[in-house]
Amino acid sequence: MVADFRYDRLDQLKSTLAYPIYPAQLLAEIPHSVADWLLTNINSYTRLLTQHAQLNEELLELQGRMLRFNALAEENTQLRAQLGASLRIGERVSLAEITNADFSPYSQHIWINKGSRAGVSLGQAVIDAHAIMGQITEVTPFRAKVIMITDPMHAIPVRVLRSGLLTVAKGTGRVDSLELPFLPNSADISVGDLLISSGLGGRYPADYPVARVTQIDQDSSTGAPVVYAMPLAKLAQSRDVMLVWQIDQRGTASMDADEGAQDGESLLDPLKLSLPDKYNSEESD
Amino acid sequence: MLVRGWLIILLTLFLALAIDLIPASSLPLRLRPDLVLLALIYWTMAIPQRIGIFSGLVIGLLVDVATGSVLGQHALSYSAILWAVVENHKRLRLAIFWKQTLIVMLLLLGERIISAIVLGATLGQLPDLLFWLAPLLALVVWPLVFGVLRAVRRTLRVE
Repeated sequence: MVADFRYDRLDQLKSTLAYPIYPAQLLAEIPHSVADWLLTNINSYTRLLTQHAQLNEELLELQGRMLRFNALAEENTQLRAQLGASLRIGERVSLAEITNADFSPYSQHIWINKGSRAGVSLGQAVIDAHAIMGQITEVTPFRAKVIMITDPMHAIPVRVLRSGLLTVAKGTGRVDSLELPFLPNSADISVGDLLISSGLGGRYPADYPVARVTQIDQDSSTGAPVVYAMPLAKLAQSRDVMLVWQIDQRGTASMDADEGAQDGESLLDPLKLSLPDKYNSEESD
Repeated sequence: MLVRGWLIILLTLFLALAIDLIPASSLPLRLRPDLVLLALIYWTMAIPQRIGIFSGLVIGLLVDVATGSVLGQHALSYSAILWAVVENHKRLRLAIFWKQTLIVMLLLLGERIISAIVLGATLGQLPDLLFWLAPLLALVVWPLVFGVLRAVRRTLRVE
């Protein structure tokens, strides 16, 4: 157990053991799949039609917004190039389905139906349609375990969108709450502020929404603010999630840090990311 | 004959694992006791010459991988509990049924304690009340498991 907990040496053994387990996992998912299948088949024709129209409308609207977004992204790339900052061109996203979930106070995680065979790797970010959900902590050939941002062992580097304040949001073990510790008295933060991922640590992609501040208390002994925020991702409700691959300027999907504890984000990583262009342009083109 | 017996035992354990793996995000489902351990207890009690501490270790490792817990958590607790069952299998077999059920509940509680120690050491905190309440449901589930597995053992003559 110590070997597993501290050194990750047993990954090979684990992925071998995952093979005999796989049929049991499939079996366990049958009740859910049957319910799903029934629901989709019982859907009436008219309902499908209205849904289709609605989705079309939504698609148009989103495409319209994307037009502007593309222009902005292009401009942003150019500006960053002028600054000599490293480019993060974007992310590749693929869908996965939740197969199992555990939301208990001491561990909050879900399992998704894609594993190392689908290219899932350790540390990868997982989002839903609304915000960041968590990151991959364990990969077996067919399944991967995702630790939620609300897990008490998890912390995510965030930025307050309004004031630019950089901080860390820790999980509390409750699905609807994150905690922002270590804030000074003078911190510029108020209820309703949007927290977005800062990208520091290189683990999560930057600028994705994470949570909204809901409550600010004061520590009675030190007077320091104790801030709570509600995750924007529908952690306990979504069925489908998205896996994010960060794409660097070479056009290959890469993960920055494959090892290291999930909440001990290395502070050196941002330095590595912001190396001037010339240092890593050799392989490009 | 021997191989067939193993296959049947493995199949029951496999089914128990599948039921254990059914998503349990809702509250009542989180209260269900560990069916794999209940099945292992039954088989150890009935045929301790075939199922015992080592089987507990191997099955425990598989359960660890399936649930994503620290590799060894279930292996440790299962083999410890099954050791107690092997040592007392005759007493357990002869006990009156309600007494046997109570003892099984205590065994599950023992498993919870070992798991709690491992969780405490790795996660740095102790689990909540629901975690400790799960063995209570063994009072209801054990008679079912016992009945089903005994029927399986008798009709298919697993010895």
